[in-house]
Amino acid sequence: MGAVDGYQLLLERARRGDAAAFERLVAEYQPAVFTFCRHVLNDPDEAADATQEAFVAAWLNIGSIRGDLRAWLFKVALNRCRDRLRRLAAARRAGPGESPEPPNPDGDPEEAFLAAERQELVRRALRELEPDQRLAVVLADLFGYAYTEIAAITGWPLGTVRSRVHRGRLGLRAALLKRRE
Amino acid sequence: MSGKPDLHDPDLEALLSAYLDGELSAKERQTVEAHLAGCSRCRELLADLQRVKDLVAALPLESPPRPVILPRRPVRRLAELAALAAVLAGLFLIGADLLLPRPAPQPMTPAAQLAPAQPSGSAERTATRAEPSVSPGGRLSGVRVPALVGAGLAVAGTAAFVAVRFGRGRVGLLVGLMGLAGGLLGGCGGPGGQSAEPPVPPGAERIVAAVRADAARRSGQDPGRVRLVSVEAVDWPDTSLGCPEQGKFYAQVITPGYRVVVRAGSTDYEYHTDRAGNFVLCVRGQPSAR
Repeated sequence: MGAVDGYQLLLERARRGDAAAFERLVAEYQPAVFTFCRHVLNDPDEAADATQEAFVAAWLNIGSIRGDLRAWLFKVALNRCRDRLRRLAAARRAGPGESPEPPNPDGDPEEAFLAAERQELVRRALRELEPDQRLAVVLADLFGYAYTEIAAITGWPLGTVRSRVHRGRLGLRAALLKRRE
Repeated sequence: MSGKPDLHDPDLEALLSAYLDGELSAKERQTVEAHLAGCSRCRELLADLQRVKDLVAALPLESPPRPVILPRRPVRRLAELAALAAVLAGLFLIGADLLLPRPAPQPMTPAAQLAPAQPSGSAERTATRAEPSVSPGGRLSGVRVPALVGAGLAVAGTAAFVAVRFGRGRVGLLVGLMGLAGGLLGGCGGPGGQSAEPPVPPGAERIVAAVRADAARRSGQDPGRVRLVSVEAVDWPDTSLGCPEQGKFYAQVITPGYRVVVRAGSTDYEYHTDRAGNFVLCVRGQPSAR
């Protein structure tokens, strides 16, 4: 609760033009926004660019941000990610190119349950999901958003959020079971 | 994890994640719980979904390969530039006022140039002036106005820059306003404008003392309270000392002397003198009449 109050205080100071306060908010939320973008885009460089753009947008529009800053950042970042996905899709259509971070089929199931390996396994399983299902699962499970908040960030109807979260989890379960076999 | 689910009711299966997330209505929740009680496959699936949820939740956040770099906000940049411009303007005013030589005394008024004849002789006529005067050298009350305004501008600009740059808005605003007020008060001859008297040119001490005594006598003030505002060496174009009395004629002889302004109380007196000890109290280009 104290941390939340602290962030609210920093946000208030940032709204009054305090750059140092906003830089502290950037330091706080940067990993979350980058991780979110990376899951959406499957590409660290593109994710870093989208993260940068999201924070610049936040800084330039700090006065109009209402409510939860992280959710606002995710919404803006998602729009930037979608723009990038469209550009990347167009580039792929224009010529053959490598898909960034292709799923690695050579996972070792015995080591998959060691912490680092397990995380990598989950990341790979996430990357195999349909993009919308991955987005739903990441928002619900990695960042703990309620369905109404996910609907606000993504613009999806509530029923769509519900079905995409469920299908995403089913897909993850299937992918993890496949790697385990 | 269990094997593939073999659910009897796909509609209920679709509700399991929402059930896990507490996103079902009370009625839906009751329906799902009733089904789970009699369906081991759905219970296993629910446990798997919980594990999947936990696995994703356990993923660590990652740091971007390069840190976010924020641009300066345009308004902020403009404000900083304006503040710096104020500082530079203030410093320029101070420097120009203190370093540049003072302008030469203003030429005689046309009326004075047109009035040839004898010296006025006894020019001891009294007059008071309702308004303070600014002498040609840019001094008021013995203080250089541009320097004071410049100092105020510099302080205000510095405070504004600090406020904008480091987000100390209220402090910056306060200091900035104080700086501006100080500069303006000084420029207007208020409390900030009080300072020491200007230096008296060598050889003018006696005439300045005589002028001071004359002003004291006329104003009823103690001579020690009559303050020298300015004293300038002037070459008058004739013996009227730049202050011809109408109807009189003056000799067309360059007459060296001084323009001396003293202040008694709140009134300034402008005297025109030669170097021999003669002086005239001059009001609006004419000797003042008693």
